[in-house]
Amino acid sequence: MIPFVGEVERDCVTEILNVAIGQAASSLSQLVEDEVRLSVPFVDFLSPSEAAARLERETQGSDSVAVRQRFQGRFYGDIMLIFPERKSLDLVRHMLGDQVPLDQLTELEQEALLEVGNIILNACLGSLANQLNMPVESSLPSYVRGRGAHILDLGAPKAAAEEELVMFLHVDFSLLRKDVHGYLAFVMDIVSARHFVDAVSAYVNGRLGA
Amino acid sequence: MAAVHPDELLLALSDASEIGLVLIGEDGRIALWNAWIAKASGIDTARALGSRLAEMFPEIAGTRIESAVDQALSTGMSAVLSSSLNKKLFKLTHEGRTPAHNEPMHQIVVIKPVAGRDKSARSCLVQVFDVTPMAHREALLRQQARTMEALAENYRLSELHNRAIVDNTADAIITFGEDGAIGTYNPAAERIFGYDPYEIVGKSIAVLIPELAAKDGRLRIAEFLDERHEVTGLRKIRATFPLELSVSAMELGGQQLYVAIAHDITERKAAEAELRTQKEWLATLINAMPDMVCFKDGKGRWLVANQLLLDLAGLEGVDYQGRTGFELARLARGAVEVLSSTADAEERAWRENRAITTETQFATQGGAKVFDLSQIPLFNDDGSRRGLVVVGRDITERKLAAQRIHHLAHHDSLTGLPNRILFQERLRGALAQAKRAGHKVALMFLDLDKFKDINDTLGHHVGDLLLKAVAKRLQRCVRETDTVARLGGDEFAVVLTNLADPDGASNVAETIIASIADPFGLDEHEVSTSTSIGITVYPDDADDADALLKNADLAMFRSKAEGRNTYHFYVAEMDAEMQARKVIERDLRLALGTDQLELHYQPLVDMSSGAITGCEALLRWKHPTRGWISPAEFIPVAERTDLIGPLGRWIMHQACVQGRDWARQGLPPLKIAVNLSPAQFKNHQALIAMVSDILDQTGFDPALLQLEITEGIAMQNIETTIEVLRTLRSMGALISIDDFGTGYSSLNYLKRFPVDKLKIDRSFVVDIGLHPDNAAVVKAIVNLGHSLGTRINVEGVETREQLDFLLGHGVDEAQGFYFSRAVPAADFARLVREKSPYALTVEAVGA
Repeated sequence: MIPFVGEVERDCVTEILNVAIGQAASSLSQLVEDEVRLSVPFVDFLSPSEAAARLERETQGSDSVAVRQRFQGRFYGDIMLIFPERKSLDLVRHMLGDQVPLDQLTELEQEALLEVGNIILNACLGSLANQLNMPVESSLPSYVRGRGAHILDLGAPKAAAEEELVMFLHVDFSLLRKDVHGYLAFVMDIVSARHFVDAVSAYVNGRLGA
Repeated sequence: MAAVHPDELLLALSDASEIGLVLIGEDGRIALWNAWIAKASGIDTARALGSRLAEMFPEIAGTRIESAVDQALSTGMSAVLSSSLNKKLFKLTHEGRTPAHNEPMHQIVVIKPVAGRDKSARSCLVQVFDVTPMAHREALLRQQARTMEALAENYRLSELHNRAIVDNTADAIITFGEDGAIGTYNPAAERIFGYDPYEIVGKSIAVLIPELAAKDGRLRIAEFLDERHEVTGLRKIRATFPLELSVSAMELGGQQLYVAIAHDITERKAAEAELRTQKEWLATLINAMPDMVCFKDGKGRWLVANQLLLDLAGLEGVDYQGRTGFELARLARGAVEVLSSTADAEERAWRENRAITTETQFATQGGAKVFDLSQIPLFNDDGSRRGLVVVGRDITERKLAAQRIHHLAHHDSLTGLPNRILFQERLRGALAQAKRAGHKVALMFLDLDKFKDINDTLGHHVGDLLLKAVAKRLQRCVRETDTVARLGGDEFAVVLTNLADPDGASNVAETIIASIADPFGLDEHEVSTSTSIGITVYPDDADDADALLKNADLAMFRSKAEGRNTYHFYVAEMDAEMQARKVIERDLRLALGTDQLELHYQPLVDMSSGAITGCEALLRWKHPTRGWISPAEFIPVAERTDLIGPLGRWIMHQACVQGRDWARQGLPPLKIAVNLSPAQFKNHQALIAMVSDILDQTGFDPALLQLEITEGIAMQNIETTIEVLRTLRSMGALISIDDFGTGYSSLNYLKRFPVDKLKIDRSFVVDIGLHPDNAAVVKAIVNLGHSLGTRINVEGVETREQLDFLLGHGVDEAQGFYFSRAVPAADFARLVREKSPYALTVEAVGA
């Protein structure tokens, strides 16, 4: 754990992300025409290797799939929605209403998962931008499959990796009377992370000032 | 090559693109609409350009596409949408091979912000990918995946089932290799053989089923393959038991493998043995039974029959199974009726669902037999016919016995004639028939005159022979349709049917009388008898059987009263006489002990001295309204009732008192004769006691008491009579036989009778001058009596001629109107004093 933010900022990040995730849930609800609840019990700031270890541990070493989008603004990086592979199958097939005995996602199912991820990530980014009052653009989502470390490996040079920070969130989904859990990871370099935290601090101060 | 304007190049490129491209400008209006999207949407570029997206695709209003485009324009967010998740994307058409194959497009829509020259002014590029073929491929893939899964599931279940079957079957399933080594061994095998798998796996199958190994230890599987065999199994505890074994061979992974399925048939064998025992019992039982037994199937075909039936039907050696009674009747050599006659009864038994019993008669070598044939139906659960049990019981003996009993019950065993019961049946039948036909019926009662005497003198044997002979003669006197019955004793009855008039009955009666009058030769005896007949006629005299029976009885009584050997028709007066007798009986009962009754005395005159030596006491009844009534009228009535007892006692007592009084009055000793009735004599002990009592009470000299019995009484029950007479004589009384000559006294008996006097019946005296025969009889009796040492008395002397004849023939004593009628006691005393002795010889001389 990197002592990167203070307690107050940390709580604030958690709260802001909860609002963002709430927005995502609302968007998803619209799509599936059913109530979807998402919650974020905690937020951790980890180094990439710590995040990979955490993910490996949580997924018990099995493959995960992730929907990844780049985002750009005052701070930038990658945001990922990660599911253990089994859970992703459940989630997608549940949403499509079609339980197929195939142990990998088909192309169309991958597209569907991308779309679900896109909805959540856009809602999340949109909400952050809105709350912190700083515009964020997003790229198209892409699909990644592999073990924890591979998912988080963004292909950046090793040295650079040390300069990165992962904001790791555990997300619980409850949709269509089924519980699925996944993870949300913001991967940013230290500069972006600093900008992010500054923005949060400013937001906190602004709120306190108000 | 001419320079191309960049816009034209852009258009050309975009139109050449294999995806849909729509560019929406920062003002939200369509700036690019490529050929692909124009074709898929059917909206040409000219129309699309400058419009808003929602105007081209009204269906996307309010959907995620709209908001994604907005977000791209406003905040630069990229978005992906696919038909898989979004119900409403663009309304586009995927072009099939032919227009008929056109279909809604499965699309993936990518929305991307495009930065303009001015950073804040963004456009939005909408790309549409047609993934319809991919959707088809995936649908197919899903279908295949599902099929595969179903197959896999099926296989898994089938594996489970097979495992469950092997584990739970009651049969031992054991696999073993070519060397006999056991590979698998299921739970049933554990149960059956008793080994745990670890104890037996790897060992030879011959441990369990020794027969599978030859003597040299090699397996001999071939002979057990593919067919069931009964073999002997060996349990762990060394017990053997029967097994049903099937062995099949298979190859698994290049190895020869055998599967033995063994079924423990201990219970089945036991059940088979039990069944065999029961069958044996049943076969033994049905053959040992004295009844015919046959089991048939639901179509009446024979299954099993016992020996008795086969013997009777003559089916020995015939293959009877599966054949019906009709078919067998053609093959049978015996009583075919048994086989062919029961079809109706079988059908009825099934139809009415109950045992049907019929009586069947048929001829056998042993004579005619009667069988009760019972058909007992059996049904299946669904109500269809299962079979039939036939049981035939020989009831020949029972039928004969019943016939005999019936005959005995309705016939007289001695004569074979109908008895009283059958007679009454026949009479009623005859009456019913006569009523319908309008004919007459005559009923005759007859009995043999003096049959008792014949029975007593010649013995019961002769009496029985006589009854039989009479029965035969009676039957000859009537037609076949008439009935002759023996009612009991010597009483017979005849029913004459279909009579036109009563004359027919009198003809028959005359014939009978003549026929019976002919002497009978019976066992060296020639016996003569006669009969008295009473006749009554239906419907002239009465129209019911009871009245006719009474009438015939009365008429017969009349014939007897009128001297026998004759017949009388019933006349209404007979009823009146009957009534009169009843009146007499009642009046006599009232008169007893009153002065209506008195004794009169008729003198007995000694023929040598002419003196009155005694008298005969005679009862006289002065009826209060009718005056004097003849003893002939009331004595028989008294005899037939219990009145004779007290009346007889009163007479004797009265006579003794009178005799005593006369002696006290100083009259010479006078013998008093008192008549004993048959009824009195029958109860001889009471008679002896009575005589003894009265002599004691009155003090009358027994030597003066003379007891008279008729010859008829004397000859009944001779030995007893002799005994009683001896006793009476020993008390001092004298005995005389009354009415002598009318009965059938055997001289042999007479000789033995302790008799003091014989009284010749008045019938011999009445016309003594006219009939020399009678004179001869009198002479003979006098001689007989004197030779036996008895005195001879004659009654009914009315004339001097009679007296003279009797005097001339040595008669000892006489009585009759010539001397005096019976007179009251006082008059008698006067007679003794004044008239005795009568001057017999003087007058005789004088005559």
